[in-house]
Amino acid sequence: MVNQKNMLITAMITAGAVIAFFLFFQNDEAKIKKKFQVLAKRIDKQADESDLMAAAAANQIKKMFGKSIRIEIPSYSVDKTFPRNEISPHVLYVRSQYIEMKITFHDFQFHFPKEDIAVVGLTAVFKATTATGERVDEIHEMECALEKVDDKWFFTGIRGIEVLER
Amino acid sequence: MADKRLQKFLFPDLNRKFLVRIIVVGVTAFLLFKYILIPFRISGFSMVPTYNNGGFNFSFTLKYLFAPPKRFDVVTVRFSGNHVMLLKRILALEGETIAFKKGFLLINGRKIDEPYVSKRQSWDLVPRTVKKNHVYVVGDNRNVPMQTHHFGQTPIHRITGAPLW
Repeated sequence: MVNQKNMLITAMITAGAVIAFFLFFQNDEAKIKKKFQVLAKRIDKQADESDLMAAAAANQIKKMFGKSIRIEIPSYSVDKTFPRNEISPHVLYVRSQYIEMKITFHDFQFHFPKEDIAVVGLTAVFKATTATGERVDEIHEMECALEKVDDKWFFTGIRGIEVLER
Repeated sequence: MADKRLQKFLFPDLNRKFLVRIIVVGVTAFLLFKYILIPFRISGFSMVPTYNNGGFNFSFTLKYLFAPPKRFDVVTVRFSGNHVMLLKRILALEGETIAFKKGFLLINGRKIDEPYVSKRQSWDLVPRTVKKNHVYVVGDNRNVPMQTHHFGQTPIHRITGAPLW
């Protein structure tokens, strides 16, 4: 009986320690993964989204970026650096093109060239429905650059990688 | 007797031997399906009629362990990992010139028969040479406009395997 009681207490303490470890001592990879999860959640758009909700989402997305962001997507002929203030109008424009949209990120590959710089390779799956009812289903490999400021990670670059080059 | 054996098979004793067996089976299955036979579901119409949307298969990763990929092999091409892959057919190898003229495949200027293509639209692609350590992959479904079909050359190291069937 005593043995069982001790084992139960030990198991509870161990479980508590594991939970505390994941809550308070997340490493940078876990923090960045979480950042992508939050970004995906904010990008998601439901059919009943109001203008106010769209503006709020655009503003929240803007806050996740650094002072400027370099976006380089060769397949769309995009190669430009945007200041943070210009992000919201672009996000709103993209959202207005779709009735519904959803993005998921997979297969993260982390690389830390410097202590406060991270380069993350990943696969982005984008599913959306346009205003005309057309289904969009795209997959892109991307390389995202992030910078750590005051223990928080901010996006500073997004580069599309061509998997199939015509 | 048979009832007892069936009962023992369905509800085995939770002894040490049984736990070891469970762990061995679990670890083997994990390693097998994580690294050797990667399960995948086909999403899309790129390989129709050979592979249809919603189909299930495994990517056999040991296929090219001892031999390089060949022309007409159907392969899985990875993005940044194995969670999302493309299913395509190799049409040209490194150093070869590939082109499409009125929907027909030309390799090094010669028309190549493609029995796996059922219907084709009039694709026209100017000749281009496949780079070193690359292969040129295209889906079997040519009954779509060329602009909407995802195809091109990719490094050989992106090929993760081939579908099991």
